[in-house]
Amino acid sequence: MSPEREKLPLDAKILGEAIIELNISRRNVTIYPKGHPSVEQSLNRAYEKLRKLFELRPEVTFSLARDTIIVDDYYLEKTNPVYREFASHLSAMGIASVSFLTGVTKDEIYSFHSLLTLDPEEMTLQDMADEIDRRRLHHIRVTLVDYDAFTFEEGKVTATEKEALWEKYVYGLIEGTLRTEEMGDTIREIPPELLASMMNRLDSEELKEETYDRVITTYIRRSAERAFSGSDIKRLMDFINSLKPELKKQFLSSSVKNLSMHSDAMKEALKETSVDQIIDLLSIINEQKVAIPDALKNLLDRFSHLQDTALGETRFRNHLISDDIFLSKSAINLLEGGNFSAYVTDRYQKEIEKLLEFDASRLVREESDLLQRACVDEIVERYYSHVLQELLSQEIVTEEEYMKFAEEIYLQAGQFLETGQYEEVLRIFYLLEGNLSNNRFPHITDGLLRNMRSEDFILLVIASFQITGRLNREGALALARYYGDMLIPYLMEALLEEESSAVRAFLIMLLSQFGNSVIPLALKLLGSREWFVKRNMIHLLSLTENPEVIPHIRVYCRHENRRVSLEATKALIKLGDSYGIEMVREMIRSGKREDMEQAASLAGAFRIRKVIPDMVSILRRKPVTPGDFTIKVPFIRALGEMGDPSVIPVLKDLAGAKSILFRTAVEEMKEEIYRSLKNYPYSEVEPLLREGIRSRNENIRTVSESIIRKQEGRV
Amino acid sequence: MSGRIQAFITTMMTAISNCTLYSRDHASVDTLVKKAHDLLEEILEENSPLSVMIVDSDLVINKSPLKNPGTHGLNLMKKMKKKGITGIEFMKGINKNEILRFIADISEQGKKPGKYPHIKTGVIDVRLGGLQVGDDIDLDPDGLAAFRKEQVNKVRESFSTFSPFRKLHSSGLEEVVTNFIITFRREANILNLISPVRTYSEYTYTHATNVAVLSMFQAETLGADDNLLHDIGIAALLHDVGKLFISQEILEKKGTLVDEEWDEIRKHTLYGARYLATVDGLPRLAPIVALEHHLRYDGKGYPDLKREKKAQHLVSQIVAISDFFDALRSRRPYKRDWSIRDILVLLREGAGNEFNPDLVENFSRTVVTALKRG
Repeated sequence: MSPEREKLPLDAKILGEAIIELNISRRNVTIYPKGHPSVEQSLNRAYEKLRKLFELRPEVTFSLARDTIIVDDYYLEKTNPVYREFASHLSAMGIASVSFLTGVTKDEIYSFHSLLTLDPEEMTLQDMADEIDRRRLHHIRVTLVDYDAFTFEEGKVTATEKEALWEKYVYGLIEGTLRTEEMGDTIREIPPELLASMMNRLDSEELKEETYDRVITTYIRRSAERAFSGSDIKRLMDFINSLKPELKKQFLSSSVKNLSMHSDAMKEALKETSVDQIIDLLSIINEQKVAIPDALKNLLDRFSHLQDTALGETRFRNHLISDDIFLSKSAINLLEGGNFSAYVTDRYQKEIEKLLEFDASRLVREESDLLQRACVDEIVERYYSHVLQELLSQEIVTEEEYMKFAEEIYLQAGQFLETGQYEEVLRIFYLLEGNLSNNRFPHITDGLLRNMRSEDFILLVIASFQITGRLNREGALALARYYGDMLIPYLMEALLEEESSAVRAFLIMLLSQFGNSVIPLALKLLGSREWFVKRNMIHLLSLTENPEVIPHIRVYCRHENRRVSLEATKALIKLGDSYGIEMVREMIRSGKREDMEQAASLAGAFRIRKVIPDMVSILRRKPVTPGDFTIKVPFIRALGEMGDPSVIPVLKDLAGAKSILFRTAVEEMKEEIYRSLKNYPYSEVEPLLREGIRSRNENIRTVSESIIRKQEGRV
Repeated sequence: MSGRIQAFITTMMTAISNCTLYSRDHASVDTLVKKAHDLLEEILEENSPLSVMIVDSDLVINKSPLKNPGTHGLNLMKKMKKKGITGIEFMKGINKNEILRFIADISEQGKKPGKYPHIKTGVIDVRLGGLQVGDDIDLDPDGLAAFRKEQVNKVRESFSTFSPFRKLHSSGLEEVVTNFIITFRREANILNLISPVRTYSEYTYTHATNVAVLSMFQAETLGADDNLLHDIGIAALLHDVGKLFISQEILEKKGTLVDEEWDEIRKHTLYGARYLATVDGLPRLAPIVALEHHLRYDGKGYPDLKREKKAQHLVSQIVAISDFFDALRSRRPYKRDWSIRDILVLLREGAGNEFNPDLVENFSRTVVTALKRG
């Protein structure tokens, strides 16, 4: 404890009782209304305990480190459930410390407790600070966690948490700014070679004598109360052996000085040290010409001549078990000597050691990133999900385990959705259904299935379809089919809101899988004011291929919005309704250029032979303006899609057309004629193509040659 | 945390997952980046920068800790820790391209975050007892600053090249275990999990230790980084932990096993996976390897799976080779220890059926080299 923080020691018993009473009264305030006897009694008790503490000092502060209460420099028993509960609750509210001051009233304690009943999830730290101010707690000082104390250091990366701590520690140690008694454990955990390598990197001229002493005392002794042990000596030697020559002597001198000051401890420690190690130590001391006190020298000499009784299992055990620096019971069990040599020959052991020592990264082949790729979190999570699924299928799993695995698998299902792994979600569904039919923990299984069919989860499914659905079309279709009709309203909703035409098309495709089930909702939405909703619904209805929707669509063929009317006409054609063909004919005859072009496009796309005469009549129409030539182009193209031989004479006539005034328009038309010839019977268009080869128009020549060559090659 | 920030974290993490699984050019990544950008613009309009910090095990957004970070918040912390960063700041003016680059960098294995005009990455530190390494250096006026900075950088450098597994030079099983303990001591679970194995079966424990060493050796020759080596080491160490649930009588039986006994032995894979899947904080690979290490490369091994069979994970295939190698190289009361050459011949015979042929080839090549050179 640092001197400035020393205070009168608190009575641990009263302190403990005060916390217990504060926690009880806190709980009671949560459960019962103000004035309830349970609240009053517990507040009285807490108040009395605090008063007893005030007899020792005017103010008591509880600092909170997550689930631990700290008073002055002491941690309160971390395993005490009441302390933990009290600390955790306050920490969850963002409270870093709370001080109770002499003069505190029961009302203030009540007010403080009622502050703790607020829902921390609903409050920011500022809300909390405001609430504390509002309560005017004159004798209770609440300090909230100040995240401004955490500073952001740009561009840096940590190694591991542990290493960062060491790094900080070593720097502080060198600078002399850290209190070593608090950090001794940390430095002791640094492997000797590593500590030495860190020291070796420092400029020895800058290091002062105190630094050597500080490092050595910290490294070999845990605290002033605990003397060093055999393992300290070994660690120390490993450390010194790894130092660069110019540092070796200084650190060794400091070590000798330290060891000599504790000759009894040294004696005990040497008992646990092998002869070889003692000899090594002496050699280093001699080699470095370090002055060594006689007492220590004699001790070392004596032990170096002793029988080596410490070798073998006990040596190892003594090293570590007698020194409980970091070994738990489990660790001790692992380190105890055993029947190891019964299984592992000396030779094999040496091989294992060689493999450990060998820098295997040197053998990595350049292209070898297979393992890293196989171990990315997302892939490993998928494998882990399969493990959980297997376990959920196995009889060996208890109800508690089943519950845990089921909860995990539910979260995984959500993650699979986000990454478009619909097959994985389906696997989970099939597993749960299988378990339900086998009556396996039905209440858990059924609950989970309900969750995965809940609105929240379905919204995740839909969001996923919008983002990744198109990229795993088959998987999305399978999952959509699994959900069935219940998905329709959600998909419709998404369709109405979707801005991307590609995603809209995908959603319509998904909806169309539901066949007639989408009709009622689609018809309802057909009445929407928005033209694009109408258009999408007409399209969707056409995909159902149900003739019953035809009357509902017909009315839109003359809709004021061209995109709607065109979609309706298209839909009727797809559904085989003659009304659709009539509409196309009407459009061809309308004389409106845009209508005519769209009609030609529809006729070609749907191969509507019934309108061939109408289209031919357009081709035969005598041209008066350049537009009269260009309007023929889409019809030539549409007729070409059908390749009906009855059209060829008209095409021949047009191919021979000449115009001085509208030459460009005529050539454009002729080029379209020649391009379309590939779809007609070759024997009937061959003469025309032969003429094309002789044409002055290079495009016509090229396309004619290409068709002929292709045909001849085929022959 | 506002709903928008939550939505941003969800979107960003989903983009990172999609980028990891597919590629940065995948259409879903593009959609998610756009969405993340839109959300971020709205957030930064109100409050810039958006600060994300990891303080201990808490995710702190704009200096306010999240009470319940949810799956995406936890995944964000995991990814950040893997990249060695504990703080991110997103600033006004950010564009989609920056977000995409950031997401791609976070997704890519082994790649550290780069520099972005409107995204800062770094570490969070706390002032303790007046010591603040960076600040002290910057404020030092007497010219020592440069020197100190250099020293600190050198110390840092020494840490950055430190891999706990490279320090496993040992002189016996105990040393191996000591090093495991040093490496895993912050993860008390590992010791608590492996310790009963030793109490129960000395051989299983010895075997587990050797398999861990052999698996880590293989993994290192395959380019595993330190984080992955750590996870593979744990998974390999615990691969047979399910044997705790097999009666000692059967486990140590010297004669021929009857069918029922053999069936029971085969269940150790399931028992192990079940046991490890209930332990929080273990690498996911541990239960995977426990379940799969006897499944064989061709899927004809055990346990009998009730679900559709899937290919063994690569790490399970690595452990399967180590498992086989150690079983033959070890001495048992009823069998001699086999020579390495004979074991490698057997491994090659099993390549393509029992073992992944590429891994067998790699192991044969590297183990011989290491033992010769070592």
